[in-house]
Amino acid sequence: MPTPLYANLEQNRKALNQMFGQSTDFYAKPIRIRGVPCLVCMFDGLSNTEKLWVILLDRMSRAALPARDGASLFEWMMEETDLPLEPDPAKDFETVSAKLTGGLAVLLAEGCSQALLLSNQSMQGRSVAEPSGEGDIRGSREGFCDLLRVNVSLLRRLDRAEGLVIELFQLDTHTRTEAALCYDRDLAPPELVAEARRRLKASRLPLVLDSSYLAPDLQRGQGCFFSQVGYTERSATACAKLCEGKVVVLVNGSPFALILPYFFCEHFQSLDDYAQKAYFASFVRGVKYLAFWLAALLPGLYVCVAKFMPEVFPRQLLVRIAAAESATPWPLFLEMVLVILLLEIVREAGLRLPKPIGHSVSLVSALIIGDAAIGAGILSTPVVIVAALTSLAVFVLPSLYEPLTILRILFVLAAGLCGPLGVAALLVWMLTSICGAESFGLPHAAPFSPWQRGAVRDGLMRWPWPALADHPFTVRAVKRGGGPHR
Amino acid sequence: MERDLLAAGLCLTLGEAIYKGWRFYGDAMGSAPPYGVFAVLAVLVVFYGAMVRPRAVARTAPLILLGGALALAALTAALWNRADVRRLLEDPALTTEGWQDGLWQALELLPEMPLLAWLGRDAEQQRRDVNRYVLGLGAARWWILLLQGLVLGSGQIDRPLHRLSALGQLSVFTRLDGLFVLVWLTLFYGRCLLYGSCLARLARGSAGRALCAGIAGGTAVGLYLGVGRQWLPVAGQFLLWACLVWMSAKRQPGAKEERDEA
Repeated sequence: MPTPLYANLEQNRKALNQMFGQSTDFYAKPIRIRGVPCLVCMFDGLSNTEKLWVILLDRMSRAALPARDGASLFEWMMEETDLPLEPDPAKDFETVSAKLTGGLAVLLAEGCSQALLLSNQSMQGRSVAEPSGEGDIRGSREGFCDLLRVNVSLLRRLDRAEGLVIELFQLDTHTRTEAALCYDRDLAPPELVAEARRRLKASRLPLVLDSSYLAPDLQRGQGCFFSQVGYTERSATACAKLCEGKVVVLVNGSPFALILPYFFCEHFQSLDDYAQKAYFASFVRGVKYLAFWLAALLPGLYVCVAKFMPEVFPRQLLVRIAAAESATPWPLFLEMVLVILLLEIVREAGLRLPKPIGHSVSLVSALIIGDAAIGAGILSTPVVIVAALTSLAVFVLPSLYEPLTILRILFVLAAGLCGPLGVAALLVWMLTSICGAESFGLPHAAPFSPWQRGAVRDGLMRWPWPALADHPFTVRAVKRGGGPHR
Repeated sequence: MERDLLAAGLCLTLGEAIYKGWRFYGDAMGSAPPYGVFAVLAVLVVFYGAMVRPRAVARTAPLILLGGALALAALTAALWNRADVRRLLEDPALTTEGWQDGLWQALELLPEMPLLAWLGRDAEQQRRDVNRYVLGLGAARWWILLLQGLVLGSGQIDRPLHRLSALGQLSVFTRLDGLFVLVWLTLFYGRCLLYGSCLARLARGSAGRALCAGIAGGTAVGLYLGVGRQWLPVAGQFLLWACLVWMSAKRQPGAKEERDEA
């Protein structure tokens, strides 16, 4: 139950001091406007003091103000002036708290139980820049930043359709993080929007510092290796998803937007695909699908074939592999797991280290792992080659990095312990896991399974734009048996 | 009663499939893995199929079949120059025996169709998808049978798929029989997945599912030990065929009132 503001200014001041008085960045100054006692409150660093005084005091001092008391002052400022005020005043302490921490300044007056909210935010934040991931050759260079309002404006700038709806609300967390639910009311199915809203508001996390915290609440089937929620740093990509009838969720403090629902084939799509020639985009798609299978299966298949079915190798290759393996002390599958783990350690070290000394990691890892270990006979060359090739393949699909990293280790273990039996069983499990997952009631493996024409139109390949434009895609089409094409 | 018959027939057939799969795998690879390992992995896949919804199995099936289709296409392309219709006429008696054997093998899949009637009661599309899966498996068996006859002729009885794969040498790999076994295993596990999904729908509660697991496991162990090799597979097929006939008879005009009431 919200606590209403008092009409007495002193009571309001005491209540606010009790809430925020211990914080040194809380600024509360009593002033008089035309003889009416008032109180200005804001957080230093979120609001601009200079702008406030210019807006408030300078203009108030030159205005013909007929105010007699706080209530009339409030009414006059709200109705008769052109001050940058929020359209709805605050009537309770919870709203005042939310607006203060949102960077607005609050003006309270004696004898008035409502507060004026002044839009004088001035928060320091990371500027709009090109995102670090999702590299593209063509297309927009703008990426989301950490401020929710800026991200919303990026979307609004790209999608100027009147159907675009942005719903702002606070998540039920200790940090009261703001989030925005964005959708096009003419394209997004109402039940999808309602379900997304329900799941977001039902989230009971202690804090949300990144949009990915919300992913488990937004997807069902925690046993699925592959996420049913998509992420993007690019506003252009988010805009494209909105035009497909999907829902985009933005969280304050996070440059990653969530996309709901998300299909498995979208991991292999990028903004560049639609800026390049159709034949080249199709070729790149094929390369990405090949990279996925290489990343998941190659180490496991190598171990399986080398250990259980060596006759598959051509004779010369078999001799070289046998010679390399005989020189190492480890069983083949342990050696493969060891190399994969070492590569992960190198990757993690390169990610966490300060950039000036990050180059040293590459040099050290190349010398130690790539050269010294092989020369000392601790590791064999074929295993290092296979593991390195697999790592490169994984980097082609950064959104699938997490599941592919674990899956390739599992395939190696299955191959080493059970041979073809283990590899086939794990493969069936992986395929069933992908095909059985659903994202907001839609099959995650669409349009491949269940098979739809979109699998060829904009799945495995990408048809030219005139053909794509004839069949514009929305999420509603997937329900009717169509397929995603972006 | 149909549900119980189907479940019983399915359990017996599953046990038989595990045992026959182990034997085939041992023949194809030249050495058989421990029966326990093979059976446990197959049962794990069955349990996983029981945990996922039939919809997941129906959506996975086309992808698994695609792998089999690609392997068959590669094998056909590699063996096309060696195919000769005259081989089918070399030893008509042996060829006929081979075709009969293949026919019975393909017909083994047909009684599984009633399972789909139960699975698909609430989802017509699911039933159609799984129907395509079973029909695809049957078509694959018949195609392999034809290749055997055209390429191997009278030698088709003894490890035919292994021989076909050994003959189908492609430029990249020296031999492909190991990889085709991998594809066969994937198809086998796909069938186990289907069995598990069907059993979960047919068995009532956890006690029923435990009983099904016990029957299937007992059948697999019994066949391995040599107990009931003559009658267990026949019993399973008999039960499934009985269900097929029963459900076909229910569709007759005389039984229409019963269906309308249901």
